[in-house]
Amino acid sequence: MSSRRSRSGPTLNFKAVLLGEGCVGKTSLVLRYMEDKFNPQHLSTLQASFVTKKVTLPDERRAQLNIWDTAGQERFHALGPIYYRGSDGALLVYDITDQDSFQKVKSWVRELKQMRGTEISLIIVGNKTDLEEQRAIGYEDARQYAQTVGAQYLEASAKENEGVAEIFELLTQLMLERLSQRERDAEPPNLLRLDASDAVSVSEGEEGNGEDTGTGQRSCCGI
Amino acid sequence: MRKPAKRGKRDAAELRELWRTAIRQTIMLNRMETENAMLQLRQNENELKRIKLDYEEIVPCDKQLIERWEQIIERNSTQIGNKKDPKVLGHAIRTGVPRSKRGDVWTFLAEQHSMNTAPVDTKRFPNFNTPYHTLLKHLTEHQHAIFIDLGRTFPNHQFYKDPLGLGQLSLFNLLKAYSILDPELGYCQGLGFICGVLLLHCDEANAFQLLKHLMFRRNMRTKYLPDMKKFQLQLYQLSRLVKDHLPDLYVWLDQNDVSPTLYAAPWILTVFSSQFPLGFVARVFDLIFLESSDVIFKFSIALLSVHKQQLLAKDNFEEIMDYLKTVVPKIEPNCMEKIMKLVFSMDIGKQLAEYNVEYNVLQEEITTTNHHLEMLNREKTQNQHLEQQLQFAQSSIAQLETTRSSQQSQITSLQSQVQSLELTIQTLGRYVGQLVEHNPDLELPNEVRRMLQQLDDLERQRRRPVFADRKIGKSISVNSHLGFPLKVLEELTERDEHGSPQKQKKEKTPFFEQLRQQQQHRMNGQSSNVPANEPVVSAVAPTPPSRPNRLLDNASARTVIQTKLDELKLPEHVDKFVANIKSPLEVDSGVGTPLSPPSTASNSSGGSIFSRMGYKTTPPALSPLATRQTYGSSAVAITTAPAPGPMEQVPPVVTIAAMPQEEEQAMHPLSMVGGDVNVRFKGTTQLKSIRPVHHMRAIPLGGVQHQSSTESSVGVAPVPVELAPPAATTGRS
Repeated sequence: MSSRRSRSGPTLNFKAVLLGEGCVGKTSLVLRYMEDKFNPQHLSTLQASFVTKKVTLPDERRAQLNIWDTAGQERFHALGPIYYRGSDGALLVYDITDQDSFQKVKSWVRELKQMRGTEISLIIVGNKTDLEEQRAIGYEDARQYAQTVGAQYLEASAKENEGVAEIFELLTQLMLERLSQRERDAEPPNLLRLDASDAVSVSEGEEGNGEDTGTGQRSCCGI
Repeated sequence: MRKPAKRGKRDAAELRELWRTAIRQTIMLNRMETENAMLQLRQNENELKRIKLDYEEIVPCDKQLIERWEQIIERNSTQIGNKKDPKVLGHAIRTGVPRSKRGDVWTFLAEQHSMNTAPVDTKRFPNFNTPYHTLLKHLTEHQHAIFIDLGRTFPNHQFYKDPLGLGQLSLFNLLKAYSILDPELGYCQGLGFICGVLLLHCDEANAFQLLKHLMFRRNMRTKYLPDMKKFQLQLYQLSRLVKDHLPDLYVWLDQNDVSPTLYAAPWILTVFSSQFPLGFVARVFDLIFLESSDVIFKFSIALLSVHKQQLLAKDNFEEIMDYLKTVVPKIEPNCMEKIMKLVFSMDIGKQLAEYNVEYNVLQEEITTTNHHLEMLNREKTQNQHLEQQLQFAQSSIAQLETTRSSQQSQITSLQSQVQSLELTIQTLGRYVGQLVEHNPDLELPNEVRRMLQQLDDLERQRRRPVFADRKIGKSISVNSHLGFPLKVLEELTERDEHGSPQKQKKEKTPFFEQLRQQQQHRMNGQSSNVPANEPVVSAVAPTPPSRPNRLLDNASARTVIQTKLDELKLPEHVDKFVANIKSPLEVDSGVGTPLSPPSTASNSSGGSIFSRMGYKTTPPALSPLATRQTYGSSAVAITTAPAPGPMEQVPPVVTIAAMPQEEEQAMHPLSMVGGDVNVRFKGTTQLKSIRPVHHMRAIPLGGVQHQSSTESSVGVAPVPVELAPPAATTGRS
């Protein structure tokens, strides 16, 4: 009964946002993840585009990923932090061949830390590993930086379909962990009350069931 | 070219002729090559134009329209300053513009529009009139941003397809020149598509003029400015227009969380060119050049209304978004006609102006609301903090309350203990008195004598009229403190007299009986002691000093008592009493609740409980036993007293003492005090009444010292009148 309830329970909703300089491959990562396609000639993303994907979590729960793919150009962020406001996770994407795009990731980290504190799960993504020979930022440097800011670090190639699914899986996992962490944090003040009520309701339910089997139809409330 | 005619020598004329021929032929060849190149160029241009204009006109354009447009353009270009009738132009645009003539038509329409509008402020834009080729010589800081978008602008169009091909280079030049001309805007994503459309219809320089026209004279530049305020306004305006024109669709989209922000950004920023076919986009441009950039709203509304039914049929966010992204941009010919019809019939100027104002008002409200929200949040956190404090305080109050009640119950039990002990003391006292009476030679130990004296004191206290006006009710007065133990004593004596079941009942009863008998005798005026039933009493009776103070003064009696006590094995009990009495008192005084003051009874006017306990020496004249005897059985005192004087003094005392006794019966001391405590506690839950212990000490001290020894007052002193915090009491004890 409990297992059925958890499966049929409300699907979790996660909002994830892709941020990063223009042309680092944000849209390509999304396209690869969503449709397993790569289009070298897709359009520049204007403002933002929005896609959703339903995933099944390891614990068999269903979750919906709402992915915001944003425009790389700075001025679109002047529209207000509407994309990362309320988001549970962020992919900060840069181009491993482009030092500037890595600097942009750093400024995004600063902004997100300032605006969202620790409420948001961060993954820094070095994209375009297919251009290894043109690499400008070392793997270790990026990983260490990510560590200092409390972010995960992954590398991927949307073009070659390397490590793309892993990014979104890790992000989902992080967001899930953060969610349960939040629930745990929210609990302590209510812990006693919740436990008490739970215990009461459970025992009532059991008693009620017992009564039901014994006397037929009698509501738990009647006891 | 040379003719190797003969191997022999050629004459000069021949050579000259040969040279001439060669030169002529070279010239001819050059000419042909140039001509070839010219032909090639023309062919390239046509090819380019063909490539550029390689888009389908959704509704095929009538060939005759070319001539017609040529006529319109020609006639007006010859008469500059002559404005063409807008109705004619409108009709002509509505009928359609042939692709090949579009660039010219746009230029013509731009010129027409510029005639009526003020020139651009060159002070704000010093480079406005700088020639295109001069601008291109400068460098732009937006080079990178422009560059990364080149491959992502019309990536599927032949002209722009090749990386760094002619199309992309032209695009780059145009965007670069514009970013230098308008540094405030620089480069914004989406602008590339506008340039792309223009470049498809005319050459770079011309496209640049048209771009300038659109941006400055058609007010398209503001939405690309870095703050994007105009763009946000336009999204809001579109949302409101949808609500006005398609209310049911608006509600439907709203229910599914589909706002114009999600689908209309490319419509507004690229004038549909990033998603829609060029045939459609070109028609939008036609109308922009004819009317204004507001036609983007008209087309948006027209698109939504054409697809309204299908959109209403989609019942979730994903499907609606998918439909808007994939199906809506596919413009069918019949659809196109409907759209054009709608667009030409729509008038939204007034609404746009209205929503502009509305948006600005809303923005202001939002900022103030945000401010209020911030304040509210701050208040909320503060509230939470205070609530926590309150909870903490409440829990500590509850804790204190439980401590208090437990202490109260402890006090009550101690109180009853004290009562029984007092009773014991009294009984023993009387018994000792009796003993002394029987054995005049009995020598009492000092402690016992002191105790008896104190009992005597106490009796005296009880008789004092002061206690008659004890109306302690709400406020705890000094009297009440005193009154309580006394009352207890009174009750006890009462009980004794009525033979209440007590431990020492067996011992007492005969004593009381005897006393009562004595009393009766004396009341009856019998001056001689009538021997009671018990032999002991009769034996004692003749001895003159029945008053303890006299007994105590009598050294022989003391020794007799001592020996008697020894014989009776009483000293153990006496010791126990002393020990027992001590402990409850200490606890009582330590607890410091309203209950404790009575037990300490540190009143100036009378002997405290300590006086009963033998902690001090009272003057013999105030010996408690004497008074007690007079009270309990007035006859005893009268008979035993050597002089008749005391006899006369006693009766009024008795009567006075009787009154408080009655009063006290009506109100049980414990219940009274308990009630008092509760009332007080409820009334002042804030524990305001807690006062420093030292402060309280002064009051009892003075009073006690008056009659009691300093020794006792030190022991009793620090009893707070009002509720004292447990911490204070424990600290003291």
